[in-house]
Amino acid sequence: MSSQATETHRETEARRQTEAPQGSSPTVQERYRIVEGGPAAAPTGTHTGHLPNDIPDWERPSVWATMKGLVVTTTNFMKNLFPQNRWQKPTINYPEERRAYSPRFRGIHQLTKRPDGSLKCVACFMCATICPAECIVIEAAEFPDKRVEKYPVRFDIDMLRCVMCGLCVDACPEEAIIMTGDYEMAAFSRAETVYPISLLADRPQLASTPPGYRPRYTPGPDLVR
Amino acid sequence: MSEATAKPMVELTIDGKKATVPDGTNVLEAAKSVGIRVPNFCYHADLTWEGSCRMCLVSIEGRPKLAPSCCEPVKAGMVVHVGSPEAETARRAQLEFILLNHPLDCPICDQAGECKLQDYYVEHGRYESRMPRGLKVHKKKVVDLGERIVLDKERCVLCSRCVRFCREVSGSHALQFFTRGVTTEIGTENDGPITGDDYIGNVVDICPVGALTAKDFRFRQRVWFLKSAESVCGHCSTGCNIRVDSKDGTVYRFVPRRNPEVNKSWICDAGRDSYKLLQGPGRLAGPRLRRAGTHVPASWEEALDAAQAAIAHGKKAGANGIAAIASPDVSTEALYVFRAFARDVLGTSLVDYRVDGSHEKTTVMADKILRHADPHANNTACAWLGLGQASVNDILDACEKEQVKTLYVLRAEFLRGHPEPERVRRALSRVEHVIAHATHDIPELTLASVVFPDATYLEMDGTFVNYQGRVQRFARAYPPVAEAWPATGVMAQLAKRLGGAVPAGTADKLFDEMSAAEPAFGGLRWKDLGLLGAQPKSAQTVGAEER
Repeated sequence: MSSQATETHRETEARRQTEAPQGSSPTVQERYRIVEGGPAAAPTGTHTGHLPNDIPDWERPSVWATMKGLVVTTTNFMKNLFPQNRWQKPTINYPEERRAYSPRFRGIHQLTKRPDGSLKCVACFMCATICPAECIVIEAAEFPDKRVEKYPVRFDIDMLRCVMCGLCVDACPEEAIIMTGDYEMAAFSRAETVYPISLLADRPQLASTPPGYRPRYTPGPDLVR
Repeated sequence: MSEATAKPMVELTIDGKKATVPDGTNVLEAAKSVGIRVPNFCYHADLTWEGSCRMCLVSIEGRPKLAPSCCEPVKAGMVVHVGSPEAETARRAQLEFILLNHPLDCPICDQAGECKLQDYYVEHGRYESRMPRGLKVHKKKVVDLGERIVLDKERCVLCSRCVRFCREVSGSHALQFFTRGVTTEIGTENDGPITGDDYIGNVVDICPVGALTAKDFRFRQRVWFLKSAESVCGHCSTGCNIRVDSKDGTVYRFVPRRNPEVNKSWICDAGRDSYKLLQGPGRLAGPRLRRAGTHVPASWEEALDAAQAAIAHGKKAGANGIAAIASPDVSTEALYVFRAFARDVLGTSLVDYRVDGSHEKTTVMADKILRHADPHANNTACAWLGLGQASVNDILDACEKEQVKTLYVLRAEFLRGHPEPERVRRALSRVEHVIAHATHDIPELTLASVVFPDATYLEMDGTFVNYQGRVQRFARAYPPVAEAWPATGVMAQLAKRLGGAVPAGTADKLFDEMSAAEPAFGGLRWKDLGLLGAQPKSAQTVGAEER
């Protein structure tokens, strides 16, 4: 290795020209083969998985290459530290600052209400049926108003299982479940991540979050969020 | 069926297929026999022909008009077209007519998923409604019809199946048509509750739409989540064929399954509700042992050890040291294993199943329709297997005299049926060791020293033999709850520990083995039983007499 390690790329090429029979370069099988004895025993021009001894000078590790890299690093560091415009700054001061998301953002679900304050949900189980994560658990009961007939006494969404696909919103025949722009669902226990009706319909964060993915983007007066 | 086969056969052509059916069959059934389904609401195989829904119209060559296939008896050489353009058009038009005033209740309707109207709309309808909004005729919704039924008059398609059922099968005449024209509706007198009809639950099953819903099942589950298992009702000796609809180990309903030889398409309300008795809060979760006067939960290993010791103790006491009581509530296979267990492992002839006298009432009708006075499913099999070797009163006497040291009871609940409960209690308390299989936690279990949690018939495969001697299969609807274990497995395990052997294996293997050995079963094979069961030749006369 010692004699070859000092050999430059140019010299190697020159030697290969003279050593190798004219007009026949090493085949692929020859260049890439398993060599007994490791890289030291490898003939010139064989790829052994180690730093090849025939790479060009400008690719070899050197002070110059390190300096070049540092210039790139420093430039970006300075740009981020003193951004000239918002595109140069990749981070924001969350949670004081927040990004604006699409009006179709699929965040935590919400159960909508009728103008009289009752849930629009009629417990038809369409969302639970379509749900690919099987994260919705509903229990239905008889509603006193005979025109409504059925309503959920229990409507749980397991946020840890939910994959935020929005199919429940598509399946709902009543616009009773929509998604919101709310995406903060950190909790201290698994039990807290199962959202019951009280959280899905009346959680305090709803006041400050815009609605997300939903069937109608200009809802009529019959929908109360 | 013997009558039907005696009738001359008629050959006709339906949609190019040759059908050969007995004379007197209608075209709809003939089409079904060659695999052509004709849409229909009002036709039901076990009710009279009505022809009111007009969904089954077919064209018959040589006839100027379409004919309702459910009311058209077959004639030799008839050429029927179910899929002809005229029939298709008529069907579609009729569907639109039926749906004119039908409410859009599918999301909250319990029938959704098994609704004929939904299915036919997808198959034959698929049109936009031409009825302007607000012009629909509205009728009363959520009418409470007593303990079992809720009626929605808007959803009704006026097929009259329920009216015919109340007239022809249950005889209560509870449901009737009222008013005329577009306001025609189904109802009871003044929408009052239905009383005195023990079969009224069937109208929910035969209602092709969601007009009649069962209070018991209402809103509890959507039908497409339910898993079905073909089973047999164990609530009396009739052995009505049922479908067990369950989800995650919870049964939501029993639905009758058609068996023309046993229950037609019906089931009594008591049998329909019997699923509640088979599950629920009282189920035993694991084996129990009596230690220092109180019951403590134990592992299966400990319980089997204790039972083994108790049986060995009883054996030492001599010939009458052990007695065994079978139960007509368990499967035929379990009874077969029990008999071998009592004979070869316990080594006793003190074996009986006639605790509550129900064996005498097996073929006695409790009402005029289906129910029998014997509340157990399998008394016939107990008799066939000769389990009545000693009298139960002799066994109890021997217990009271403290001759019996160990008593093996196949179903502890069954002992409660004895006419003298005090005597049973006294006898059991004099026995040193009572080993009992039980499904439910009952107060009398405290008298037992070892309790094995048993699986109910919903939790295992097996057969029941009904009052006719018809061997009927039931399939496992869900696995045994908690640590429950079918008695066949427990007895095989105990036999192994005590150095004996009893037949072991799956229900089909046990049945074939038993059937080959027992002449009463007439060499029936498990695969011959099918979904509707089979009757050994020797038992067929019994059934004919009864019917």
